[in-house]
Amino acid sequence: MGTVVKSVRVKEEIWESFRRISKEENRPLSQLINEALERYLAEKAGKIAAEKIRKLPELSLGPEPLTREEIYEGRG
Amino acid sequence: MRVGVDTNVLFYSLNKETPFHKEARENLALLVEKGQAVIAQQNLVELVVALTKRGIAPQEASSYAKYFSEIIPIVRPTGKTLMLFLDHVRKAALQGVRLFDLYLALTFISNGVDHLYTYNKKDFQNIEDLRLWPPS
Repeated sequence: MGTVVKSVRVKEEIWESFRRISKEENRPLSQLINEALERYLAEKAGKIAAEKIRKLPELSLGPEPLTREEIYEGRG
Repeated sequence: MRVGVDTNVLFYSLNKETPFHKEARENLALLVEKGQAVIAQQNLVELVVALTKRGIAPQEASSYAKYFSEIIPIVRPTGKTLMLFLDHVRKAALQGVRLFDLYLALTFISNGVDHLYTYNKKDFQNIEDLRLWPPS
Protein backbone atom coordinates (compact mmCIF):
# COMPACT_ATOMS: atom_id res chain seq x y z
CA MET A 1 0.00 0.00 0.00
CA GLY A 2 1.03 3.57 -0.49
CA THR A 3 1.18 6.32 -3.05
CA VAL A 4 2.97 5.89 -6.34
CA VAL A 5 5.50 8.70 -6.44
CA LYS A 6 6.50 9.97 -9.83
CA SER A 7 9.38 12.03 -11.14
CA VAL A 8 11.71 11.96 -8.20
CA ARG A 9 15.32 12.49 -9.19
CA VAL A 10 17.73 10.24 -7.33
CA LYS A 11 21.52 10.15 -7.68
CA GLU A 12 22.52 7.16 -9.77
CA GLU A 13 24.86 5.70 -7.15
CA ILE A 14 22.21 5.95 -4.41
CA TRP A 15 19.65 4.24 -6.62
CA GLU A 16 22.11 1.48 -7.51
CA SER A 17 22.93 0.96 -3.83
CA PHE A 18 19.25 0.62 -3.01
CA ARG A 19 18.76 -1.90 -5.82
CA ARG A 20 21.76 -3.90 -4.65
CA ILE A 21 20.52 -3.96 -1.04
CA SER A 22 17.05 -4.89 -2.22
CA LYS A 23 18.49 -7.88 -4.08
CA GLU A 24 20.84 -8.91 -1.29
CA GLU A 25 18.17 -8.74 1.39
CA ASN A 26 15.40 -9.96 -0.88
CA ARG A 27 13.15 -7.07 0.12
CA PRO A 28 11.08 -4.80 -2.14
CA LEU A 29 12.61 -1.43 -3.04
CA SER A 30 9.46 0.34 -1.83
CA GLN A 31 9.94 -1.13 1.62
CA LEU A 32 13.58 -0.01 1.81
CA ILE A 33 12.75 3.50 0.64
CA ASN A 34 9.86 3.81 3.08
CA GLU A 35 12.14 2.73 5.93
CA ALA A 36 14.79 5.24 4.89
CA LEU A 37 12.25 8.07 4.70
CA GLU A 38 10.79 7.14 8.08
CA ARG A 39 14.25 7.16 9.61
CA TYR A 40 14.99 10.55 8.06
CA LEU A 41 11.74 12.03 9.37
CA ALA A 42 12.35 10.63 12.89
CA GLU A 43 15.86 12.07 12.87
CA LYS A 44 14.55 15.44 11.74
CA ALA A 45 11.84 15.45 14.44
CA GLY A 46 14.47 14.50 17.05
CA LYS A 47 16.70 17.38 16.04
CA ILE A 48 13.82 19.86 16.23
CA ALA A 49 12.80 18.56 19.68
CA ALA A 50 16.39 18.72 20.93
CA GLU A 51 16.65 22.33 19.80
CA LYS A 52 13.50 23.12 21.78
CA ILE A 53 15.19 21.72 24.90
CA ARG A 54 18.33 23.77 24.23
CA LYS A 55 16.19 26.90 23.83
CA LEU A 56 14.30 26.48 27.10
CA PRO A 57 14.23 29.64 29.18
CA GLU A 58 16.79 29.83 31.97
CA LEU A 59 15.27 30.45 35.38
CA SER A 60 16.77 31.50 38.70
CA LEU A 61 15.48 28.85 41.10
CA GLY A 62 18.27 28.87 43.67
CA PRO A 63 21.38 26.73 44.04
CA GLU A 64 19.87 24.14 46.40
CA PRO A 65 19.49 20.62 45.00
CA LEU A 66 15.97 19.38 44.33
CA THR A 67 14.86 16.39 46.37
CA ARG A 68 11.57 14.50 46.70
CA GLU A 69 11.50 15.56 50.35
CA GLU A 70 11.17 19.15 49.15
CA ILE A 71 8.51 18.22 46.63
CA TYR A 72 6.32 16.09 48.89
CA GLU A 73 6.89 17.38 52.39
CA GLY A 74 5.52 20.53 53.99
CA ARG A 75 3.03 22.91 52.56
CA GLY A 76 5.31 25.75 51.49
CA MET B 1 17.28 1.80 25.00
CA ARG B 2 14.67 4.05 26.59
CA VAL B 3 15.70 6.36 29.41
CA GLY B 4 13.25 7.60 32.01
CA VAL B 5 14.03 11.16 32.99
CA ASP B 6 13.71 12.16 36.63
CA THR B 7 12.10 15.39 37.76
CA ASN B 8 15.40 16.85 38.94
CA VAL B 9 16.75 16.65 35.37
CA LEU B 10 13.80 18.67 34.04
CA PHE B 11 14.18 21.11 36.93
CA TYR B 12 17.95 21.54 36.51
CA SER B 13 17.58 21.98 32.76
CA LEU B 14 15.55 25.10 33.60
CA ASN B 15 17.51 26.29 36.63
CA LYS B 16 20.61 28.25 35.66
CA GLU B 17 21.67 28.53 39.31
CA THR B 18 22.52 24.86 39.74
CA PRO B 19 25.93 23.42 38.79
CA PHE B 20 24.08 20.67 36.88
CA HIS B 21 22.26 23.10 34.59
CA LYS B 22 24.30 22.84 31.41
CA GLU B 23 24.90 19.10 31.74
CA ALA B 24 21.22 18.35 32.42
CA ARG B 25 20.07 20.48 29.50
CA GLU B 26 22.55 19.02 27.02
CA ASN B 27 22.08 15.40 28.12
CA LEU B 28 18.32 15.82 27.94
CA ALA B 29 18.60 17.35 24.46
CA LEU B 30 20.75 14.43 23.29
CA LEU B 31 18.36 11.82 24.69
CA VAL B 32 15.42 13.63 23.08
CA GLU B 33 17.26 13.84 19.77
CA LYS B 34 17.87 10.09 19.77
CA GLY B 35 14.24 9.44 20.70
CA GLN B 36 15.32 7.73 23.93
CA ALA B 37 13.93 10.12 26.57
CA VAL B 38 10.68 9.30 28.33
CA ILE B 39 8.92 11.00 31.23
CA ALA B 40 6.10 9.91 33.51
CA GLN B 41 3.06 11.99 34.37
CA GLN B 42 4.39 11.99 37.93
CA ASN B 43 7.46 13.94 36.75
CA LEU B 44 5.34 16.74 35.37
CA VAL B 45 3.24 16.99 38.52
CA GLU B 46 6.42 17.05 40.62
CA LEU B 47 7.97 19.67 38.35
CA VAL B 48 4.99 22.00 38.80
CA VAL B 49 5.15 21.48 42.59
CA ALA B 50 8.91 22.15 42.66
CA LEU B 51 8.68 25.25 40.47
CA THR B 52 5.85 26.78 42.48
CA LYS B 53 7.69 26.02 45.73
CA ARG B 54 10.69 27.92 44.32
CA GLY B 55 8.59 30.98 43.54
CA ILE B 56 7.37 30.45 39.98
CA ALA B 57 3.73 31.43 39.38
CA PRO B 58 1.39 28.46 38.84
CA GLN B 59 0.47 29.58 35.31
CA GLU B 60 4.13 29.79 34.32
CA ALA B 61 4.99 26.48 36.01
CA SER B 62 2.13 24.84 34.15
CA SER B 63 3.39 26.18 30.84
CA TYR B 64 6.85 24.63 31.39
CA ALA B 65 5.29 21.26 32.19
CA LYS B 66 3.18 21.53 29.03
CA TYR B 67 6.26 22.44 27.02
CA PHE B 68 8.06 19.28 28.17
CA SER B 69 4.92 17.20 27.58
CA GLU B 70 4.90 18.28 23.94
CA ILE B 71 8.53 17.31 23.39
CA ILE B 72 9.10 14.17 25.45
CA PRO B 73 6.87 11.06 25.25
CA ILE B 74 4.90 10.42 28.45
CA VAL B 75 4.34 7.03 30.07
CA ARG B 76 1.54 6.37 32.52
CA PRO B 77 1.11 3.91 35.39
CA THR B 78 -0.53 0.66 34.36
CA GLY B 79 -2.31 -2.07 36.32
CA LYS B 80 1.05 -3.82 36.51
CA THR B 81 2.61 -0.71 38.11
CA LEU B 82 0.35 -0.95 41.13
CA MET B 83 0.92 -4.67 41.58
CA LEU B 84 4.69 -4.20 41.35
CA PHE B 85 4.49 -1.29 43.77
CA LEU B 86 2.60 -3.19 46.43
CA ASP B 87 4.93 -6.15 46.04
CA HIS B 88 8.05 -3.98 46.38
CA VAL B 89 6.69 -2.12 49.41
CA ARG B 90 6.15 -5.44 51.15
CA LYS B 91 9.60 -6.81 50.25
CA ALA B 92 11.77 -3.71 50.53
CA ALA B 93 10.14 -2.20 53.60
CA LEU B 94 10.41 1.29 52.17
CA GLN B 95 8.38 4.07 53.69
CA GLY B 96 7.54 7.75 53.50
CA VAL B 97 8.77 9.90 50.64
CA ARG B 98 10.95 7.07 49.25
CA LEU B 99 7.76 5.41 48.06
CA PHE B 100 7.31 8.14 45.45
CA ASP B 101 10.76 7.28 44.04
CA LEU B 102 9.70 3.66 43.94
CA TYR B 103 6.40 4.40 42.22
CA LEU B 104 8.16 6.50 39.58
CA ALA B 105 10.74 3.77 38.95
CA LEU B 106 8.03 1.12 38.65
CA THR B 107 6.00 3.30 36.29
CA PHE B 108 9.02 3.31 33.99
CA ILE B 109 9.72 -0.39 34.41
CA SER B 110 6.12 -1.41 33.75
CA ASN B 111 6.30 0.56 30.49
CA GLY B 112 9.45 -1.23 29.33
CA VAL B 113 11.82 1.62 30.22
CA ASP B 114 15.09 0.11 31.43
CA HIS B 115 17.25 3.15 32.32
CA LEU B 116 16.82 6.19 34.56
CA TYR B 117 18.56 9.55 34.32
CA THR B 118 18.54 11.16 37.76
CA TYR B 119 20.72 13.31 40.01
CA ASN B 120 19.51 11.42 43.09
CA LYS B 121 21.19 8.15 42.16
CA LYS B 122 21.33 6.70 45.65
CA ASP B 123 17.53 6.75 45.89
CA PHE B 124 17.22 4.38 42.94
CA GLN B 125 20.25 2.14 43.34
CA ASN B 126 18.45 -0.86 44.77
CA ILE B 127 15.66 -1.05 42.24
CA GLU B 128 16.06 -4.11 40.06
CA ASP B 129 15.41 -3.86 36.33
CA LEU B 130 16.24 -0.15 36.20
CA ARG B 131 19.81 0.85 35.39
CA LEU B 132 21.10 4.32 36.09
CA TRP B 133 22.04 6.52 33.16
CA PRO B 134 24.68 7.57 32.32
CA PRO B 135 26.51 4.54 33.71
CA SER B 136 29.17 5.61 36.25
